[in-house]
Amino acid sequence: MQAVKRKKKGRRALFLLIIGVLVLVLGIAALVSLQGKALRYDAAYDEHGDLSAFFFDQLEEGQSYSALQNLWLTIARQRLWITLAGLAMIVIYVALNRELLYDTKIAPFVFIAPFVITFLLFFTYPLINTILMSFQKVTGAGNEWIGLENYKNLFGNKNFHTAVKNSLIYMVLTCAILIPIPMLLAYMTESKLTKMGGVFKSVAYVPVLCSVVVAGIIFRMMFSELDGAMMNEVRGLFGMEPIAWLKSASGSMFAMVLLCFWRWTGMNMLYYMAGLKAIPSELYEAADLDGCNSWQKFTKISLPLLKPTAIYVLTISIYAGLSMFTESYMIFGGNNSPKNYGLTIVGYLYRYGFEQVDRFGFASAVGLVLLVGAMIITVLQLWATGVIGKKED
Amino acid sequence: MKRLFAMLLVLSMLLGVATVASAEGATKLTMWTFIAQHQEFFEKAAERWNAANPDRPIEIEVTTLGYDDMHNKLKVALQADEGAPDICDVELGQFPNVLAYSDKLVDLTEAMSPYMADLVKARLEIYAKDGKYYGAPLHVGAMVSFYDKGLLEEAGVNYEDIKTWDDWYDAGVKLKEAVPDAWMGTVETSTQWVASLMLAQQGVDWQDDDLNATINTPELAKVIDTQKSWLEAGICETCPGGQPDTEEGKAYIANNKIASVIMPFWFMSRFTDEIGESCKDRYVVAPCPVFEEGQMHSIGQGGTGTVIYANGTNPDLAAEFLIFAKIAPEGVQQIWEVLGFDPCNTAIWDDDSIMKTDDNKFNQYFIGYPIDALIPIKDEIGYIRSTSVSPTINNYLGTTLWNEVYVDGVDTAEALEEAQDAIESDLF
Repeated sequence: MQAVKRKKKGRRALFLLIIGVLVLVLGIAALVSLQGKALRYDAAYDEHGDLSAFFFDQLEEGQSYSALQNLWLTIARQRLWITLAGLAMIVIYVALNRELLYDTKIAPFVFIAPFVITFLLFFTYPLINTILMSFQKVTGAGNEWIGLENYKNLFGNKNFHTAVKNSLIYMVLTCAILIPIPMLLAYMTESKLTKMGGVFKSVAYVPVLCSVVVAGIIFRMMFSELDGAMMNEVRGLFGMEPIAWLKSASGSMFAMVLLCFWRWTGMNMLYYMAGLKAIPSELYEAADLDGCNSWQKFTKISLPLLKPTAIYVLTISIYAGLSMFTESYMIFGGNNSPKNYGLTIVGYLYRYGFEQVDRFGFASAVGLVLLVGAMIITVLQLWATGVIGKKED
Repeated sequence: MKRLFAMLLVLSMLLGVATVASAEGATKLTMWTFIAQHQEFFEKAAERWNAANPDRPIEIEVTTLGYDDMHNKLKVALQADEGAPDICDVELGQFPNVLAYSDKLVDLTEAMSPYMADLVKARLEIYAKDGKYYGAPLHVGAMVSFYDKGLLEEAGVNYEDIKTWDDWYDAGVKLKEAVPDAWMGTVETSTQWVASLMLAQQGVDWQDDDLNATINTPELAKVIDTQKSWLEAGICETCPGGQPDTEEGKAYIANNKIASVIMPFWFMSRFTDEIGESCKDRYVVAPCPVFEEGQMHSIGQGGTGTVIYANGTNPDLAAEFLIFAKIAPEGVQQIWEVLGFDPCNTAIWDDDSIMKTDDNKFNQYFIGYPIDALIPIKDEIGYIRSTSVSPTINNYLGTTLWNEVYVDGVDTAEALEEAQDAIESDLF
């Protein structure tokens, strides 16, 4: 009974909230537009001198600049009141529905509000502008609408195909390596049979703390084509000839994937260890009683219960793989690599957006294609792993 | 005058920091650069200026920014005509972008005119627009050959006899017979120091006057075939790291197996500072070979042109200071002594008391005096233009073309045709 009553009351006051929000938005917009008004008034004054001719409907004849100032201030004050009124309506709504303050459904939104507001302020504008710029030719002299020209050039460009191919291969390889191996390593270091598990954890984690710039330069030297370079020495141990690693497609990809593997194994291990810790020990004890061996415990208990962690790792790995740039940039000592073996989508974007002149519109199109591509892959992945789309029983 | 708009700015003014005028009445000049050594160079130049002009002291505030960051900021500032520094370094490759705003830069032609006779014209041309010079050059960056004198002598070759690329090739064959694990030189795959030189020697450039890329040309085919012949004869390898000015390239040179390094004059500082002891007293600096006698021996490559913002604090004073620091003989002396670059003002090239002092680290490092390589070719230094299409062309050359022809052995004609198409399709 009570619940129904509360709901009714809440619904009754809802119009107050809606109007309050509308008035608030209107008020803020009006306040922002004051700047434009001020500039227009100034310009008008510069042009006409006597303002009464220009603002005849608002000013009496013979009134001067100070009158205009007063007028502007009055308008500003009115708009400020409107904004405050909107705010007040929202406050009244919350006061009428005080239980809202304790509502577990609303609280999360209040907590994320600072981020969302910052995001809307600083990310929405660039995002919208990127979409607009992708249909423009952006030059120092101004922007010019060119329709789908950028996209046409983009999809017909050979280097773009190379970049997409490289990014996809890199993404698939890093996912294929960085999901099972850290999982196994985490399971092993967490096992009671492993001595000094803490040492292994630390050793695996140290690369995460290493700057990718430092790591990239060291990998560049390791994979150098000089006879004395580390990877060529390793080949020498097996009686193989030194090769120019970074001048071949497979060698370049190997270096980039290895760098990623070295750098992120520790991080992913950490995620898995957290996941393993969350598995109740009773399950293992029960398995022990049933006479399971370690492998059975791993495959029947740990693996299924680690699925949410694995999905999380997969999601961030897909994104990280598609947006890779720094690793390639550092390994090849710049954005250019032999025959573009190290060119990624973001590297391609950087080349046109920043290394060349007046290609910002084109680079915007690249960025959007990457965004849409990454989004499609991630949504497909989340759908395939059952995170979204499938109803729980 | 009271302004409405000013009211809105009251808040930002309250938040802003009040600027304090300089106490001694020195004119404050701001400067941006992207090279830390240049900051030091200009700060020292300001001290010398103040000593020489006590009645017009300046106070220079130099900020070193990242390469991309600085050039992007400068372009935006010039476009908005607000916030640009009084003096700014601009890298050669970026110069065409900055010249787009030449109406906001000071024309330095007049200020440089007293020294014009001594300046290397080719170096000024790359910083010019419509016959007006906007950038003060730092160095010529003349291409020279660094020969390992001892190594060549082992093969019975006197470096002074190498006049043409054919001589160079023959020397390489002899060297390979005498010292099998030595190499005559390197073939670049990530940039085009040598290829640009060879093109300029044949009187062409990477693009024509209408900024069309000219890649599929017989001249470039000749350049590629010449270098291919070095690889085929086994006298050269493709350079580790893609070109000598990389960590790998320098490590390769430091092994003392490379008989000649063909690089701009500023590569000297890489020898002294980075390659180090292992090559000390081995190399001698000499003019580059040519295809045929009478061709240009060198071109200037790499470099920085310094510009003056026309609507700055005191553009005239800034320009005068710039000329004092970079163009006048006493200024360029520092360019040689501090940075080891070949100054654009050739007036001091012949001055042995400056260029041939034995306590200079470059003179100590190399056999003989490096400047001797430049004096005879003073009037034979050409240039390769840097234009708005250069980034696209350079990108294709450095990533694809050289790797195709030198590493994968693709047929020259075929690769050039593909290159021309690819670059044209990329110049949308």
